[in-house]
Amino acid sequence: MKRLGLLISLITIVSLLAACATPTPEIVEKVVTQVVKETVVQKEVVKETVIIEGTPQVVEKEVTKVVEVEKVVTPTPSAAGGEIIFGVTSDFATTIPTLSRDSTSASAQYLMYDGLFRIDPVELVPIPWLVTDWEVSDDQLTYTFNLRDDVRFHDGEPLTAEDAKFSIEALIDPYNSSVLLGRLNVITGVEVLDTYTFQVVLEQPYAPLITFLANTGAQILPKHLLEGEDLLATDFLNNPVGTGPFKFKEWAGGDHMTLVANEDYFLGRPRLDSVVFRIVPDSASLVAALKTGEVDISGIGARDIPQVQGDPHLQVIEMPSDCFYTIGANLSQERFQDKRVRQAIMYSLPREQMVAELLEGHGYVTDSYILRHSWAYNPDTQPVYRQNLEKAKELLAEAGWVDTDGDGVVEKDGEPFKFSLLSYTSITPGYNETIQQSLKDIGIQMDIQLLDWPTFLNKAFVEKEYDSFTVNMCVPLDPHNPTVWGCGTNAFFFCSEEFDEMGMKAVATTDREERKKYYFEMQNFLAEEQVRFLLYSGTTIRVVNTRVVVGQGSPRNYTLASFTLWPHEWYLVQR
Amino acid sequence: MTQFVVRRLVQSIPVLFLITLFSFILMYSSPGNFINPLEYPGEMGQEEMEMLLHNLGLDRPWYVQYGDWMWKLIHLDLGRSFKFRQPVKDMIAARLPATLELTVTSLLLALVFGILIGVLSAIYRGTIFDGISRVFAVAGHAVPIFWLGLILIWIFSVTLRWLPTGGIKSTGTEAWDLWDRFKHLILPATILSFGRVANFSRYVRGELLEVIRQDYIRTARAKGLMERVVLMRHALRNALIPLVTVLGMNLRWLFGGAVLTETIFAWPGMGRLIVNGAFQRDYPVLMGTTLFSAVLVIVGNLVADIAYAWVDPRIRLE
Repeated sequence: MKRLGLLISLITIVSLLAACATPTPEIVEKVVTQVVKETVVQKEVVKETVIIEGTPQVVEKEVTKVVEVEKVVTPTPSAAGGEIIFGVTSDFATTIPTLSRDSTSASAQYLMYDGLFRIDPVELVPIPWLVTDWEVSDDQLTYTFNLRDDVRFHDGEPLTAEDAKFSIEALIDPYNSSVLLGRLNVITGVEVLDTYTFQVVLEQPYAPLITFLANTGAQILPKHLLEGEDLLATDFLNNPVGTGPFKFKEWAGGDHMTLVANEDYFLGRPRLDSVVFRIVPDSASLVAALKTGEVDISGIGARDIPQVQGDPHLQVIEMPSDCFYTIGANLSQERFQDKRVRQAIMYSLPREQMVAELLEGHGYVTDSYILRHSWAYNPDTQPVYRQNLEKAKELLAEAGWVDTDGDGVVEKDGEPFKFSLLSYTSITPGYNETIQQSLKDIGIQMDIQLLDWPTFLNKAFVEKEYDSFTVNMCVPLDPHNPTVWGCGTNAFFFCSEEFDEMGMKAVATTDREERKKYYFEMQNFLAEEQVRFLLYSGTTIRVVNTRVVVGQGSPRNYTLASFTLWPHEWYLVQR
Repeated sequence: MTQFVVRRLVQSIPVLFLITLFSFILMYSSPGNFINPLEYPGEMGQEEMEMLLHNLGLDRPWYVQYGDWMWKLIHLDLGRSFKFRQPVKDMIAARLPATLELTVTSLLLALVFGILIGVLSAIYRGTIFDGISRVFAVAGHAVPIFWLGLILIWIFSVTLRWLPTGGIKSTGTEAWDLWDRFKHLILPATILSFGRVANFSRYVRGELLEVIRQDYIRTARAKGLMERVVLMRHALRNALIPLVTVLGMNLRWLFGGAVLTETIFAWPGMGRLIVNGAFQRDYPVLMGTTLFSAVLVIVGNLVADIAYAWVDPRIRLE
């Protein structure tokens, strides 16, 4: 009995400890320096008046003092070498960039391959990477690129324009259904002019071309290994070869992937010896692994921040995410076609409160459909929607929705305003209910239809059978986004010729200031029309062990490997 | 005996066929489909989506897809996973050893402790030990694995740093570094065995109590044999017979793995493969593993029946 009692108390105590949370986490960005306390022996010469044999004399005495001094030091790197371990929650879907659709796969590909361009993690603009320089024809339809001549694949073969042509053609081949297909199909052809020179021909001027070529999915494949292969069924998957700073070594399915340093990397041998990706599916186990040092770098959710905040070995980095929580209303339904109804719905939502409570402050409210860290973001997007229940009710009334029978639900022409929201089980807890309550307060009855993720995706994006749906929508860096907003391709029956036209004009010019003008207009347009409700954006949170130096976080954080230092520059610190 | 085995195997072929057909129809009619805009929902254009569905063969009628799968099966090809684009056969083969390591170990642990507790409970029936061990065994069965797993990880890995938090081995160590493997194995195997310890100990206790009251035990005692010999040589042997059947039925579990344990401890096993396949509607993986499971159930039952007949001379195979 005693043993049982002891066991019970032990289990209770431990579970209480495990559930303990520290209050109010803040956004912490630690610079990579350390404050070190040193004891310093100081010798001082002091003049003293001493009485010797009756006469006062001034004597010099040496006094030693031991003083504690604080110094700020940048940790010195250890000798080159060592290994970094990333923790990911799902297995890699593919090692071929062209086919990649998830961030875990992209993280490994970012280390194994190189692209023609890369997005600079700080400036967020594409910079030439494998390309040295390029020319654009006057009609902006032909781009001529020059490649570096000192890049080799991991098997020793040199990278040439043939590989570039092969890779780009793979991207625009509909058979591969690459994520970039819709964004690069303005390319009509690729021509090889020389061993290290090639030309890309477009069917119309297209400003985001370079930005999309800097996407991890557009990294260069080895033609000599993949020519004639079916990318969807090739053995290359288990033995990928790229030009990147790290070479593929092994992939134990479901467990881990190991990459080793590429000695002949064109920017110099990486300082690290190897990089390992460990798959830890459970988020609590992942946090435990971070604490024990079994995993060095990982992404975590806002709820796990309290667990890692106090740990001196872990650094928490928070960055704006690429995603918005949005609600899409089925615009083919008449009741949603009235702009006032849509605006009313927006005015009913307590967005700041939701960020504060549901995300615990790890997010921000935005009225623009463009990412806050994008160059095209309009900080003065009008109109701004803050929760205003009175205005919401007014707008509804104007649109003809009034509560005539006093049952708390507004009606129009005898029809009560009832609709359902399609949502998925892994969304933030409390999110759906908050929306439901807010709408109830203005007289709209919304019920929640919860589905699991694949069923939800199918219903919302394939079958398109819903009154409304909500999703955490993630967008790429360039503001050009025809799939989400374009007429006929988007998922919520939105069609605006005006909007599409502005979008096309915005990509037809490469002058950024002009593009900005269009995008500012477009942001105001969508804010006014509220065709898709943008609630707020969450933040991306990464945890990095202090023994690892990868630089700061970058808003370009789609992959786990995006930091301000390039992968070949990462190093370990002497503890 | 050979006749028996052959007859059973032949009988099982139509059963397998029906199982796969039924599973396929079930999968096909359930909502949701494999489309994979994993990180960019809504980002996939209509064209891309249709091409993807076409590549995967999902735009064909279900009987065509099933026929295609059966055709591949006859050639011993289980198809390719939608998500991973790897042959399903290879994926199962890669994860099977890890699962077996975990489940066989936990089964052995469960047997050892189950029998031990069962025997002691039977011998000391009515004492406090009996009461405690039965409560403990049932508690182990009732406690959610993921909760217990996380608690133990917190104690042994994070706080005491005695054991790793998960995985099958530490990166960089060789596969035959037994001490490392042991450290990784001990927590998940123990937790996984808890549920079965309850079952086994109850079986053993019940059977043993039953057997002890038999006449031949009285005879053995009357012969003057030591109590220990009576128990071990005569009573226990007979009491363990039903366990054989239970083990046979457990065969599928051995291979199917235990998803929760595998998830908590980042164990690269079959359980996660199956569940993730189900969540993502990865039909080739699901069909492959369903078939695998079905085969194992049939084989398991067959083996259990044979073993039962072999162990107990009173049973005759029909």
